[in-house]
Amino acid sequence: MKGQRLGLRKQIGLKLFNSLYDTAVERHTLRTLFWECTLRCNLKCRHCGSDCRTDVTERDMPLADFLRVLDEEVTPNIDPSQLLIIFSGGEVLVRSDIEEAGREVTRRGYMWGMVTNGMALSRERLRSLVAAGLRSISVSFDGFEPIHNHIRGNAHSFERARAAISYIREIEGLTYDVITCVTPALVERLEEWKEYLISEGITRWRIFSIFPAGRARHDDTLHLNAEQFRHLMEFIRHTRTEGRIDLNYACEGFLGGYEGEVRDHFYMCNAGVSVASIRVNGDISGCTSVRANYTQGNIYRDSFWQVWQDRFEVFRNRRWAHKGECAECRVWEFCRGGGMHLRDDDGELMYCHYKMLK
Amino acid sequence: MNAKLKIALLSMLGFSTVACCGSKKAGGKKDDAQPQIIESDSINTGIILMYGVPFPDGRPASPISEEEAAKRVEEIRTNEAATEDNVEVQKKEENEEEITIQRGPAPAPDGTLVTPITEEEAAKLIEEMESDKGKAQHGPARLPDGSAASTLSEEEAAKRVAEMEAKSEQAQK
Ligand code: SF4
Ligand code: SF4
Repeated sequence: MKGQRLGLRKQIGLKLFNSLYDTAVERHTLRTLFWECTLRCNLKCRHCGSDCRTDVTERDMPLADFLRVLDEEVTPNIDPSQLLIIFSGGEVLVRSDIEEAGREVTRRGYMWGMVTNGMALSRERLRSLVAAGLRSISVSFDGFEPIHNHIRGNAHSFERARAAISYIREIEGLTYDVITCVTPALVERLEEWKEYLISEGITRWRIFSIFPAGRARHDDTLHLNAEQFRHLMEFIRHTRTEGRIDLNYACEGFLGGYEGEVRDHFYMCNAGVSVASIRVNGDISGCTSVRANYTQGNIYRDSFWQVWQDRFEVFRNRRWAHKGECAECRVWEFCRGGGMHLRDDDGELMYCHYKMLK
Repeated sequence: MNAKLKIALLSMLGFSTVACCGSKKAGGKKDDAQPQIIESDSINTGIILMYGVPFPDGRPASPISEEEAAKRVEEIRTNEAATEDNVEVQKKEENEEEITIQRGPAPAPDGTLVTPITEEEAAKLIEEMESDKGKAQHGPARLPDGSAASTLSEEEAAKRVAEMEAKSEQAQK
């Protein structure tokens, strides 16, 4: 097992990557913009809303409000063809105007994509989304039927997700991946699950894990212990050497000896560096996984572009996170206190991936 | 050291900093589309966020028939069976080799494939580049002078890298 140990080759690589990261921070070129267009959802997933950040009674953001930000703030300042807009939720497909939104952003030259649980994705709906310019889509698929349905809280959710993936495969050139949130129930069956995904013709797979916070804090069916986490890392590392399915662990946190082996890239938190989000209530933040406390402005009050250019200090300069266990940490230089989503309302670290590898 | 050089070095060390604009076929193999080098500020595009979607490739999407889709899945399954032997060989190699380069070499800035080099070669190369410039550079420090990297303990290597960095900073002042 690799554990925390960093070999010399990796240290050199990380140092090189670190300085590229510094340049990326300095330039903070906006490459991904989340539009949290709704908080409504057709499922009640056990891990959802684990950061308890928003009120689900919040109304959807009118499309016109988002387009105004694009037209007045974003388009004049960037090359639209270089920006990926991700429609996020809630479940995006509960909105009936997603196709219209897609057409509007496509017309302006942007790429767009969306994440879905697949419940409302019929073949026809997918084709109309593609006609509206959809370029990339991710489907949540959390394990075999009982596991997936348990997490998603719906007896039909597995079948719907599976069908959605089969429709996606019918679209030539549509970039996609399948996202699995690995829970203790799946961790021992990862090999089987991998074989299943491959047999379904799935070529691209992303894994993430849940850390104990918010609603998920007391749900033992959701979080992995240290041994299971290490098992997961070994599984990903091994799967990537096989080259049969393109597997990545999500950005999340620094992974010590597994850096460079379980993802296509080294660990890097892009929130506020190349990723921004416009929340359903107009709040401007880094990536959507970050808590409300780190909101940098609001589109109904502030200029989005000015906020992106002049604020976001808390995201771009992580010195403030050099406290508590991070202050003593020997890999601080490479980790810089972990992903922004791992910080609680007071800036304290809630979870350290690296420590799980001891 | 400029960004291109750093990316090339990372590639030589067997690490990828690129996002590929070609979609991937079943079996994790990339298709014929040329990988696109993304420079410094764009190392981001290849990074997959927890709740994001993968960066799209260059092609617009268009539907194929249900039958064609089913045929392709079937092809994948057949290929799988055919490559099982290769996987076995790979598994064996993996056990034998401590450093495993993921998915083969990454492309260099000019699009050519870079052959991975050993740690020792990388260390030598970095040192040569540093001394070529004749002055301390900002960023990653030079590697321990002269001695073979592989004979150093992890701690010693880390210590020397830190020392070099300190010297480099001093020289800059
Ligand atoms: S203690 Fe902090 S700096 Fe160290 S690995 Fe954990 S999150 Fe990163
Ligand atoms: S906040 Fe977390 S999920 Fe978002 S970019 Fe950073 S590490 Fe990734």
